[in-house]
Amino acid sequence: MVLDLLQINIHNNDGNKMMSDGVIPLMPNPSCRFTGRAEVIAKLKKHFFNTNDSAQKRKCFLLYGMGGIGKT
Amino acid sequence: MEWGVLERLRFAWSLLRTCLIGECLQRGRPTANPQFQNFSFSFVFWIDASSIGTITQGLKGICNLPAAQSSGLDGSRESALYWIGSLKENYIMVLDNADILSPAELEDYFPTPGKWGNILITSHNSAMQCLTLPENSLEVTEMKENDAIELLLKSSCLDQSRIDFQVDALEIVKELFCLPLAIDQAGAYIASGATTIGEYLAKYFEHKKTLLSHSEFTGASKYKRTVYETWELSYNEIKKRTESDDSHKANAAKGAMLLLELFPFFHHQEIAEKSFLMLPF
Repeated sequence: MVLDLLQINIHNNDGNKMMSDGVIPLMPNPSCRFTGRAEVIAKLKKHFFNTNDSAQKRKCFLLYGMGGIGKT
Repeated sequence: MEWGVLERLRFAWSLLRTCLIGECLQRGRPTANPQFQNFSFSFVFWIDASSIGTITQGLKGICNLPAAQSSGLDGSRESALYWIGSLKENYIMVLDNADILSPAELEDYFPTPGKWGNILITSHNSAMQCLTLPENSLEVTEMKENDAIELLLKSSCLDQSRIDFQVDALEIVKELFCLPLAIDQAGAYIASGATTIGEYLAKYFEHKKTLLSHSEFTGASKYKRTVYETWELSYNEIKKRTESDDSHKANAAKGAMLLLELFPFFHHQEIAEKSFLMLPF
């Protein structure tokens, strides 16, 4: 019953808006508890903001690791 | 009967806004690094790449951005990718949590004139390296002990300069393998007042014994168990509060339990405050 209640309200107020219009992909809010990771940050900065690159070209980078390790 | 439910939800909402669950929800969100904001990108497109469905939703959302709309996008994924790929500004597309898609499937969602711009992928899957080259890849591993201690004290809302807290924190982060998610959950539990930092491990071990005897944990990695245990402790603390003598507190906790039982059916990024604002009170 509670599930029904929530569904009804979400549906009535929002219709299928989220489904048809998509979700504007915003960056998550920064966390005030973010701690450490100096090496990762240095590597990302170097990769994306290395001004020595003469020709402007696409830059891709991968951060991988198990869930909960702090990639996002 | 109707009112019973509404009352419970209302109490739950007041609790959400004010205390424990609000904190838990906050912590369930991705924790983007504030330092990354200082990077100067003209556009940041943050795409939840956990499934083709979530990527599609994100690309549709991009079509609705004012800047994109003025370029006459037709709402299709191709038009969104083409628009991004044609941007003259320095953009970054973050494909977050690309754990399930294969590298080839993910590559289909790279902006199409592929000459410039930046792409950052986060994934469980190290094979994604074939899209970025191994030298442009980095494994994120457990935190350094000192950083882990700092994180635990921050999330526990404790004075980071106190040596006695640092000593207790060291024991805890060692036990939690310096895994940030587990540490953050442990900190939330300590901050809630359910235990002191000095007594946390005793509770954790007591709980671990019970959990490890569950057959469903056979084969689970030590890391997964760590996160499960730190979460379960917080959950049980709320459960305990449903039996409080203070009826307001008990009702709030009951509402919170109800919501926690509902939320697993929601997408992890779609538990918006908006859902609660729509409740009829």
